[in-house]
Amino acid sequence: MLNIIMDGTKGENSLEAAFKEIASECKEELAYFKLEDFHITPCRNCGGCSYKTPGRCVFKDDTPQLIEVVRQARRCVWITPITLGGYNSITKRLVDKMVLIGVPTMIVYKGRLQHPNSIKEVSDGTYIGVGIVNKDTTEKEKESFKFLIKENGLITCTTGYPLLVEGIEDKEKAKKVLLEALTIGGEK
Amino acid sequence: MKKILLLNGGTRKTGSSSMFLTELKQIMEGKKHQVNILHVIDELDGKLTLEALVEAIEESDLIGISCSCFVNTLASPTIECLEKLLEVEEGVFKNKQIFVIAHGGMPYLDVHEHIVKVIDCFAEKKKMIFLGGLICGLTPLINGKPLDEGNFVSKRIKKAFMQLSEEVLSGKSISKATQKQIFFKIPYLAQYPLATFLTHTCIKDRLAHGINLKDIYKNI
Repeated sequence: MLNIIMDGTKGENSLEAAFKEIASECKEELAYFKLEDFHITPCRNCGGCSYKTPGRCVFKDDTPQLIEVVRQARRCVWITPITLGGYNSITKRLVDKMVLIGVPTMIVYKGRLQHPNSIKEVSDGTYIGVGIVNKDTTEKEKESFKFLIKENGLITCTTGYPLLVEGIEDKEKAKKVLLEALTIGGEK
Repeated sequence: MKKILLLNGGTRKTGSSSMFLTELKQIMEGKKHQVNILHVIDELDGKLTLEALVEAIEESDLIGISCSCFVNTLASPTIECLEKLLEVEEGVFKNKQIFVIAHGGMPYLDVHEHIVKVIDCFAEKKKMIFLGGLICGLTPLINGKPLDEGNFVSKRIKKAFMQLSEEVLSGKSISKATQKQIFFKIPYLAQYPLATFLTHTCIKDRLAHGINLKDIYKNI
């Protein structure tokens, strides 16, 4: 089972080092991506992925390999500083490209019309949003973030789990956060 | 007379977000207010400086932002612009009124509601007066056409915009009654034949463009 971590934080922190320690001890397939190291063009809603290059973004950047990993993952962990109750722009650039994973047809999922998932109609995967809280994060932002992740779970035909964490400064704390994100809502 | 700034938070200058603002501008100018439209995507593309955007905000009494829904919330370019505006001193924004129009394809309010929450959070951080949001679903049915030329969805949105304008121009929050104007409730069981119909329409549409979805997506 492929578990991926998409790290949308800026600059250096302990996440990658913490991930390497966990990966060395874990039996399952794990992958970590620091999103600011990749070139991801913002989605312009040009419709190219609908009519010109179906299922692929027309812009030439690192999106194809990243989206393929997201498509294949059973568990996808998105780590972002909570920004106005949602993702920061670095993280959102790749989240927007998840439109490439959806099929443009329609199903009814959990009582709503939805686009199905392109791996199988409804995935048994999990979608985890790790929101990093700081001293300026308001209660409204925290509640908005939880709402967003649950909606994202629905729209991707998976299950969304929000996880709010305070600081990932040291490696042990970062490791604890990653382990929780990798186990929440399912088997290890 | 009020000075109103309408921000297109969509990623295209000729899409539905922009069209909604053009409609609102007409309504508001008809009431003798001064309205300016700016496009957030111009800031990303280097055609609008952050300083010019901040100056436009400073000069305005009321700000409206129209945003299309990308994976339940704002598109990344709009978030990027808001991140930059968060760094601008609070004095520019303090006590200015702001409202939002959130729109997308799905007919459910929950799907697009986070856009309203983002702007609410922005208003809170910048000590602005948040006048609420209007959520419009089914906007692909409008297909970018002016509301007067459109179908039943367009007509209801036009009515809601008239009401919204009355409310925000008098400093009131957008009411539930205004939102109710454009809420289309689809009965639970009707969703199944609707899903079949929309799937059939989608496959047919793509075939007309030489695309066989079954070749690309194995689970259709």
